[in-house]
Amino acid sequence: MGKSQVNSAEIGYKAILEFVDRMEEITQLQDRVDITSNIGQIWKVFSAEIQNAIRVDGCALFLVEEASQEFVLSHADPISLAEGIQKEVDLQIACGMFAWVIKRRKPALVPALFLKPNKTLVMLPLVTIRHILGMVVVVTSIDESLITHENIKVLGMLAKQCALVMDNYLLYDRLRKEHEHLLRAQHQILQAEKLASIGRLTAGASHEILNPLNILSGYVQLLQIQPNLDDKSKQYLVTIQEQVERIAGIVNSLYRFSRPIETKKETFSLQEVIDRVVRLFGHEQRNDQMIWDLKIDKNLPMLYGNPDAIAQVLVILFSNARDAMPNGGTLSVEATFLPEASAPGSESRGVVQLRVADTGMGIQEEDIGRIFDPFFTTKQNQNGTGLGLSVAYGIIEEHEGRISVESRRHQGTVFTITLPVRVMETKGAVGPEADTQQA
Amino acid sequence: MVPQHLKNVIHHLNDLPTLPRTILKITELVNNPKTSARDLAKVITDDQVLTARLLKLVNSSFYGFPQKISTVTAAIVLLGFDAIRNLLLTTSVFDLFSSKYKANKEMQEKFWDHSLGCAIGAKVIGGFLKSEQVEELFVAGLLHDIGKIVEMMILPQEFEQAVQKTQEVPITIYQAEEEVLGFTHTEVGRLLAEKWNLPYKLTKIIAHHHDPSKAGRFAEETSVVHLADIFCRALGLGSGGDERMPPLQPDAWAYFHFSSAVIDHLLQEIDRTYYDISSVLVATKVEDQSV
Repeated sequence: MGKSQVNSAEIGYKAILEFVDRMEEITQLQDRVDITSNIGQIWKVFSAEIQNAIRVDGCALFLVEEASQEFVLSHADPISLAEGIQKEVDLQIACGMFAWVIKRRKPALVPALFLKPNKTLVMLPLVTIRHILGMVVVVTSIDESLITHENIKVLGMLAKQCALVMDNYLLYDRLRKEHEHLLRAQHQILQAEKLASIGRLTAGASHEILNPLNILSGYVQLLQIQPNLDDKSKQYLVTIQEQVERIAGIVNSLYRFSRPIETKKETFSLQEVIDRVVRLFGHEQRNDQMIWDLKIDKNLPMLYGNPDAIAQVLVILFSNARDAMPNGGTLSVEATFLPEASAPGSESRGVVQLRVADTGMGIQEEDIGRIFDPFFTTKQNQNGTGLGLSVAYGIIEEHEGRISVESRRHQGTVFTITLPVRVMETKGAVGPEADTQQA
Repeated sequence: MVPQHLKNVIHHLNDLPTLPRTILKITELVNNPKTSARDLAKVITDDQVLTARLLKLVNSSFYGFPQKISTVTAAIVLLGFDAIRNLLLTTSVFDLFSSKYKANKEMQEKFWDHSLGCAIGAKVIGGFLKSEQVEELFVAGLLHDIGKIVEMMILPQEFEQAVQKTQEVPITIYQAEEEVLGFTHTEVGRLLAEKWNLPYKLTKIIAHHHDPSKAGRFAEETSVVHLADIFCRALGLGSGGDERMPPLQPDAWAYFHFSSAVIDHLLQEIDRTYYDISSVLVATKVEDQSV
């Protein structure tokens, strides 16, 4: 009697020690899960933990795909198990077993149907109160009738933790994407606002600069026709004249950015404009190292606007691309018609999307928000004015289109332009903005 | 201080039927983490009646398993240890009383109807809440009023008085018990649960199903049974001795706050499931008797 009491006390003591051990393991598990940042990493932690808890042949993670609501194999450990377990699960789904386990929300031991002979599956549903996330399928060679209560309890606890962690991760991920999307949208609004205010400022300022500049240019020309000028003075005057013209050029570009010079608008073919500009570049020898990759939709609809202005945008983008690839690379130009897409704020029949992508050095992340700003340039020693992209921006805005940029360091930069396809009015009709522009 | 009457009850508890040895053994095995399905199956298959009943139940719509389960081991493996223990406990408790105590037969049957209704109510509510323990909740619902059965056996006259009282004055059976007996069926139920070594959770639910906030960490499960109890009265499934609804505890309701549409849905679901399951249980009983 006394002896058996001591015995059972000993057993109890041992059980408590084991329990404390378990608890410690679980705390460590939480530490490891804490630093994970995607489903793959979370799975790695739990897969290791499962293999630690019970002797297994392998285990696999099936996740419910949001769109199709089907169980899709996400990870298999070891990878060689993937094919067999996929077939096994197909059979289990077909016979209703999968649905039953998910509905019951508890771990279940199931004899294998495909992975015969003598394999047992432990199905661990990954469910939270809110969501059905998927199922962990553990394959073991241990006979199903020898798996203990404790094994199942531990696996069940692991699955529960796993489901919670994954659910949290998925929620977080969704939130993060939404947040990024909002940030981008906000950024775009800010950018547009900034450029618009710069535009208003420069429109006034450039006008004020051009007037004195004209006077200056006039007097220089008067000086140049003076008879008793020595060669040196003549040379100085030529330089002054050149630089005055340069100032005028810059100011004109600025003016154009702020309010593109109104020229006649017409329907034009983007295909033709692209061809023209590409030919222009083909003539220049310094473009020899650049490989062109043109993918232009055959059925691009006609666009309404100023083809010369659009050509100028292309020149700006192509030159930038060339400068970004001093050692050569591929410049791809892609034009596609997206009939379903709509341009905001205008009645349109879809948009034409133009992608200009280079494989160059890319734009630094801190610069990317400023590249459309006037006078922002990274080509200090190459005589860049920092006006090219801001002019391009102004032209595209004028066409009620959008221009955006994505870039990766050392991988390249992609400019994406969308231009709305106008609902064609009767021939000869004036564009809606033409009147106000001229006023 | 233990009231005199309760002492009387404790004294009588020793005369109450004990759970079959097999059930005790199974409980013991399930409590041991090192038990495997094979160990458990060995104990169950020693008892032919139990085996037949188990297979009948696991193949019933209650578990809704997609294929036929033909061996005890398969049943244990698929449903898990706790589920098997609960299932066997359910059936054993079910016929423990009905077979041995013939007095008050009519009222006893009404009690069981109510208990079964409450069990199904707890299962349905648990299912709606996506609880993982609908099977535990079922057993808890089934046993929540076990104290009343004990009272009826040991103190039949006093209990009858209490029932009478609820018909004369507007009080619930719970209050009448306190007045006549000096204690209630929840206290008696707890004593029996402890004597039978039922799982701690079950004991707590039995003891506190009229005041779930006292059930500590099982307050939510207890609240489910508490609500199921009230739902069954609303549906008129069986009888609890009185024809009155026990008051709803605000703390318990705080877990649910169901809208009236949800309540309607739950009531319908309980009513429908009640007729499904009671037919299965009756069928197993009839079969047992013919064995």
